[in-house]
Amino acid sequence: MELVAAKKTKERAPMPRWKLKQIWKYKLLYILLLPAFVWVFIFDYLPLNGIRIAFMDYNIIQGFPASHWVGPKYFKMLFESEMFRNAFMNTLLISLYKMISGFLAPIVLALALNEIRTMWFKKTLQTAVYLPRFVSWVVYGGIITILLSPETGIINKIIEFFGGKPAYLLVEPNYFRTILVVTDALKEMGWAAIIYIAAIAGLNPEVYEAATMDGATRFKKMLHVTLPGITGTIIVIFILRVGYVMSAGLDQIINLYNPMVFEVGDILDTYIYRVGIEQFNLSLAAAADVIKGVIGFVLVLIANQIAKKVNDSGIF
Amino acid sequence: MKLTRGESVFVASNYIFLTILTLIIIIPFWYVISVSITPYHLFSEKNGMILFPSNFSLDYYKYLLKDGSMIYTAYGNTLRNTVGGVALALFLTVTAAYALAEKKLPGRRIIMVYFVLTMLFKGGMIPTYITIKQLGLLNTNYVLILIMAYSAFNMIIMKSFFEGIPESLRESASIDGASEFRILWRIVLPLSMPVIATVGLLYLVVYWNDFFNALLYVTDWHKAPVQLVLRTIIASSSLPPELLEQAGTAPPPTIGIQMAAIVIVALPMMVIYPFIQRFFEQGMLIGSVKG
Repeated sequence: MELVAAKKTKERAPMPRWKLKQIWKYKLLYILLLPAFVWVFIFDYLPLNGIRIAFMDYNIIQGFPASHWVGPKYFKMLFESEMFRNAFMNTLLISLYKMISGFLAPIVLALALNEIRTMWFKKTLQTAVYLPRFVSWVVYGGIITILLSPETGIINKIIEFFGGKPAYLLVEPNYFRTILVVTDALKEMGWAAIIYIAAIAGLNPEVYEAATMDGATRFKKMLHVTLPGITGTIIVIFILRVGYVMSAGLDQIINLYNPMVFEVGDILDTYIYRVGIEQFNLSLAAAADVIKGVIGFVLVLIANQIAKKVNDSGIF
Repeated sequence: MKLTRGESVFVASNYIFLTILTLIIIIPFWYVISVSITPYHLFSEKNGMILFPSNFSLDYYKYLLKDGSMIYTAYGNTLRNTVGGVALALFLTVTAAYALAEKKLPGRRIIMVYFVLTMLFKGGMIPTYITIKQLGLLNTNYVLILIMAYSAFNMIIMKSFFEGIPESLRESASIDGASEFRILWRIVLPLSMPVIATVGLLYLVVYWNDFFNALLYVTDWHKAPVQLVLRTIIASSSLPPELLEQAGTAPPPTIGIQMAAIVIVALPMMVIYPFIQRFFEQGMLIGSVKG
């Protein structure tokens, strides 16, 4: 056996000299790669090893040595849990809503901005709409909470002014998802529009001239020249978003939700956080992590394949 | 160029639409700043309708920024995390991206798979938490610096940019006897300012604005970043005891404190980004076209 193995390696000629030489030639580049390589190993690959706690009764105090395997126990618990099913459905629903609004808003914004010919005005608008992207969800969520507060919130004052009935909007299950979708769009649309603005800037000016010659109005040019011109970008962005459906906006929701709206606002990430970190049920939460990860993985793969087919521009 | 009647209507409504949209985005920020510098009696008199502060007071800020206030500690933590973090992150990203941008690097494809695979599948919140705990990083001063120090997405943006730098430039330098380090430092980096500014800004925002990693990994108030302290100030209708202990005098109304705290935390990023806008508009273009 050994002999055969030895022969085989010999036949494969371990590494041709030129290849070793090639590797030696680039030794400095390998050294440059090393720090990031180590980081990725520690912070991306080691956690993969931690996934096994989803199949164990994890002992928080003594760690893995004192934990034993329990098979799919926690997955069964999840599927029987009303709260998990609720979080799962909410994740899909909120993601879907955000995909529509958060996806359309930047396109409309970019198209509208493109029609502004006064440069200083356009620049000012752009700077202004980027602003929310640069504050955290703690800050933005805080602002929203203050504005919507029942006693001191300005929104309620305005509602009252017009003769409406004030309400504590953030604890109303009927309004919560709308608030999520709207505030998400307001916060991200400016930044998300950059890509479309760049794509529009790259369009061929001759096409516009030709359209003008044919007597197209500005509105018509926007619809029939600009929009088709950026369709490729739009499709790719849309498909890539599909890959992130399982992440419905942890930072936003954890800063806005409360037990009154769990029913409509609890998502997988917030569920995992509450169960795992607040209630110390690490194994149950890890099982939810696994489910989220696996579905997300499949979605990203599919999305990326489609993006490649459509426009030859997946990320991988 | 003269506009037809229909076009004038279109242009005008477009201006109006964008102005209203921008106001909706900006006014909440303006409002928060205005209220934070308005004395409370005016706020209640006007029923909260304060768009332009008619009277000016820094009471809320004075209260928050008293000597020995925990805001200082938290701010110091955030500054340390951000400066250290962005430096480390840029180092990791530039070095990896530069090496991977070399198309002739043996094993490049496999190494690339190693680097981007975790964009597809991550351990998740709990397995990562367990790992950090096992590594003994929980509640340390550097856990937040380390945990956010690399993003595959940013590495890819930077790699695309490096790939666009003409090879001849680097080749002629290496013929002159310059080492790879030298080429990177002296030739590639100076040419890459737009992408470095963009990626640096992306990391900067992540570090400054992070609260969730802090929520997971830091439980000691002395190590908490300012976002976490702000979160406590906003979440509690009263002020956190950690803050009250320092105060001595009766605290001013919560709403003003909350708004002043928001301004203190958000202001640095709000001031910085317009200066880098030119760069990130360019930089995102690179990322989007080649990403």
